[in-house]
Amino acid sequence: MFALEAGAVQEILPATPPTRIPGAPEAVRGLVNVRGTLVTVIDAAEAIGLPSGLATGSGTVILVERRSRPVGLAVDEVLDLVSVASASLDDRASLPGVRPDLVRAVGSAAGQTFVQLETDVLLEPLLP
Amino acid sequence: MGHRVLVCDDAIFMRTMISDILTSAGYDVVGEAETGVQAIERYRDLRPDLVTMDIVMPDMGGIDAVREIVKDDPNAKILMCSAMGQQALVVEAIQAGAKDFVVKPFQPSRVLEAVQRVLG
Amino acid sequence: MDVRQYADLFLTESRDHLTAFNHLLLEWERDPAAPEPVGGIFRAVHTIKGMAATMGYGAVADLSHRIENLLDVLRRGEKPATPATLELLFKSADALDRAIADAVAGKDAAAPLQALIAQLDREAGTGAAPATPGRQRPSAPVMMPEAGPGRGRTVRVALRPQAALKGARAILAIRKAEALGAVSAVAPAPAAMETEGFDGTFSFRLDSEADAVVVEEALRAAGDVDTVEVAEELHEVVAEGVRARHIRVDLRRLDELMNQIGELVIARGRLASLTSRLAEPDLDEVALQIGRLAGRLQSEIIQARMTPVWQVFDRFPRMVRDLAKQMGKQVAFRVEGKEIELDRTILDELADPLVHLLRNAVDHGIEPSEDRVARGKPAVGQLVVAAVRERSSVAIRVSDDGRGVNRAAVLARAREMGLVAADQQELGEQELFRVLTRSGFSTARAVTDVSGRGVGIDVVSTAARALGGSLEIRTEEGKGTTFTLRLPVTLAIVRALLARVGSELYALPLTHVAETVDPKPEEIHRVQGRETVLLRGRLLPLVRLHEVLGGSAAAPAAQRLPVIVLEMGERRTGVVVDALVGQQEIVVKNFEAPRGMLPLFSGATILGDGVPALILDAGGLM
Repeated sequence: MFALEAGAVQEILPATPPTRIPGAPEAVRGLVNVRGTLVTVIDAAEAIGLPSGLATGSGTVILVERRSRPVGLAVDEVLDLVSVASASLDDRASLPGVRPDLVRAVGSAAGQTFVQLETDVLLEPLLP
Repeated sequence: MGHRVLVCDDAIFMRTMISDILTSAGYDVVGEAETGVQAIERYRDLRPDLVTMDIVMPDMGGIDAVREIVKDDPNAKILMCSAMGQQALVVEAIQAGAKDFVVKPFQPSRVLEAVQRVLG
Repeated sequence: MDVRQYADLFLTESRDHLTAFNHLLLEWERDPAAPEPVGGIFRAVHTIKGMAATMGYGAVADLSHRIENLLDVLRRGEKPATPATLELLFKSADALDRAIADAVAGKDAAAPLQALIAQLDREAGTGAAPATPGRQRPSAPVMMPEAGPGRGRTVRVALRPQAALKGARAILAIRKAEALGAVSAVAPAPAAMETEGFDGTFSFRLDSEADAVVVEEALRAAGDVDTVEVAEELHEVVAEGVRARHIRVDLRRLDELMNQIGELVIARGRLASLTSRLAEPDLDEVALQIGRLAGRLQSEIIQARMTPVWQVFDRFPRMVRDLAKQMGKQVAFRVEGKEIELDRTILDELADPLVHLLRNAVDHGIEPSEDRVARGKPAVGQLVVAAVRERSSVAIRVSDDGRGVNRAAVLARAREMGLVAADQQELGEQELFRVLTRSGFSTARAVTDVSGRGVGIDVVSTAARALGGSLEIRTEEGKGTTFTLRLPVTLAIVRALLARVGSELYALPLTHVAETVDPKPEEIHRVQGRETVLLRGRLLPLVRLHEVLGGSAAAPAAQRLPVIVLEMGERRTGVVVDALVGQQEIVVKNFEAPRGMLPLFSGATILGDGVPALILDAGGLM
C-alpha cells in the first residue's frame, strides 16, 4: 500500500489504453489523451520494482504535477484519502522490498501500514 | 490543320490515352516524351503549340522541365497532368510557368476544356 | 492621459524605425553619394524623436535630436559623409537602440549618452542650440498608414464545388488577374489555400484599369470558376480601405487561439466519425457546416500568424557588416526572398541558428582578401541568405563562397574520436553530415581552427528538427558551403500521412514525403547489406519501420509493401510500413518524452478517435 501527498495529486482517472512509446523503459506505459493534453503514464508498480499485475489500460491513473506538467501514475486502485498528522509519519523507515530512497515516510491508517512515495526519485530514471 | 501537341508522360498508357483524346478532337499529336529531359529536347525540336506534362517522371520531373522550357520560350503553353493530392506540386508548376492543369483520372471533356483554355 | 499604455507600441515602432536607420546606413556606406539614404534616416530619427518626446523619454528625444542635427547638415551637403561620420552614425544607432530599451524599462538617463552627444555636436558643428525649434509634435504615437495605390477593386471568386485541387486552381486564377494589374490583399493567403479547409472562395484587391467584364473573363479562363464578383468602390471608400489597418496583438494570444483551434479541428474529426456511424441527415448537415467553419477559422488564424522573414532577416546586414569589420574580412552580403512568410514561432526559433550560421560563414568560411586573391577568387567574399517557397515547406539557404569544409581535418578528428573506423580514408557526403552534426564534435576547438567550420552545427540541426524541419549541408573545398534549413510553413497544424505498423498508428508529416510506392517483395534486393528497391533507375534504401520501432507482432507478409519515400535534398529513403491509412491534418502537441525514447519522434498528436499517435521525424529516419 502506497500513498502520495494529496496536494500533489491533480486528478484521478480511469485508465485508458495508452499509445506505446518505442524505446522507453518498461515502466513507461505510454501516452494518453486527457481532454486534449498528452500525458505520459508510468506504471507505478513497475517503477517501484514490484511485480505489476496490471494489464495496460486497466486500473486507475493518478495525475501528479511534475515541473508544472502532468504525469500519470497507473495504479491498481485508489483506496482512500486519509488525513495523517505529520508527526505520525515515521521518517524513512526501511521496508522490505522497497528501495529506501523511494520512501518519503511511513505511516499507518486504519491499522494498515503505508509508504508515502518520493515521486521525484521514482520518476527521475524515467523522465528527464 | 489542328494545333500541334507534345505529350509527356512516363507511362505509355497515359500517353496513349491522352493522345487518343486529343487526336479524336482534331488535334495533331506530333511527339511524345517519357522523361523531363526528353520533353525539353522534343520541345526545342518540335516547337509544338501545346505540351501536356506529367509531374512525376524519371530523369527530370515535369516541374523542372516546365522551368527549362519556359526559360527557352516564355510563351510555351504547358498543361500539367496531376494526380489527386499533388496540390503543392501543381502550385509549384504554375509558379514555374505552367498555364493550366487537369487532374487524373481524366475525363475527356475536362481535358479538352483545359486544352481549349490554354490555347485561348 | 496616461501614456504608459503606449510603451509597447512605442518600443515596437521605434525598433522598426531603427531597423530602417541601420539599413539605410548600410546603403549609404555602399554609395556615399546617394541622396536617398540620408533623407530616409532623417525621417526615421525624426519620428523616433517625436514619439519619445510624447512618451516623456527626454534622453531618447535629446539623442535623436542631436543625430537629427548632424543628419540635417549632411543632408544639405554642408559637410561630406566621411567613413568616420558614418561610423559615428552606426554608433549612434546602437546607442539609440539601447536608450530606447532603457527608457521603456524606466531608466531614461541622459548621463551615459553625454560623450556621444558631444561627439555628434562636434561633427555637426553646432552647440547645444536646437537646430529645428518648434518642430516637436506633441501628438500621441500614431501608426503610419501604409501608402497604397489610389484605385482598386475587390474581387471575389468562388470555384465550382466539385473542382479538384481548389488551391492550385485559385492560384491559377490569381495569376490570370496579375496579368491585368497589381494584385494584393489575397485572402485567404496562398499558403492557407493549400490546406484541406479551403473551400474555393477567395478574394483579392486588383489595381487595374480593366473593365469588370474583362476581369471576369480573365478569371473564368482559369477554369472551374463558378462566380466572380468585381466590387466597384467609391473613391473615398477605397482610400479608407487602402490604409492597412493593423493592430498589434500579443503573440501569446495567437498561440492560445491556435491551441483552441487545434482542439476544434480534433473535435471536428471526432464529430465526423460519429455522424458517419449514425447516418442522421440533419446531424450530417450540421456537422458538415461546423467542419467548414472550423476549416475557415483555421486558415484565418494560420494566416494571422504568418510573418514575412524580413522581420528577422532585417537585422542581418548590419550584423554581418559589423562582424566582417571586426574580423577584417570583405564580405558582400545579400538577402533574397524577404517576403516569404513563415509561422511567427518558427521564425522566432530560427533567428539564433541563422545568426550562428552567418557568424560561422564570416568567421571561418570566407577567407581574408589576400588569401582569396592568392587563390584566384574575387577579393570580396559573397554571403547570401535566401528564403524560397518549396512544395509544402520553406527552404532557407545560407551560402558562402569561402573555403569550404576541410574534409581531411574533419576525418582526422572523427577518427580520433572514434566516430569512424581508424583506418577510414575518406568521408562520404552522408558521413560528413553525420559527423558535423554530432553533438560535441563540432564544438571541438581543434576542428574549428583547422577546418574553419563546424562550430555548433549540431545546435542548428537540432533546432531545425525540433521545428519539424531538416538541415542539409553541401560543401566543396575551396569553393564554399551552403546550409539549407527546410521548415514547415506552419508549426501547429500540419498535413500528415497516417501509417499503420503492427497494431499501431504513426503520423508522418508531408514536409519530406516525396511520394508513396508499393513494390512487390521480390523487387527488394540487398545492396551492401541494406535492403533497397530500384525506383525509376535509382536505388532507394529501405527502412522497415516495424523493425525499427519494435512492438507488437509482425504483420503477415503482404503481396505488396507500402513504402513512403522521404526526400531531404539529395537524400532519399523508403520507409516500409504495414499499411497507409490516409492523409489528414494533425495538430502537433508536446509531451513529456521518457528517457530512452527512440530519437525518431518530433511530437505527438491526437487522432479523430481521441487516441494519441506519435509523429515520426523524417530526419531521424534517414
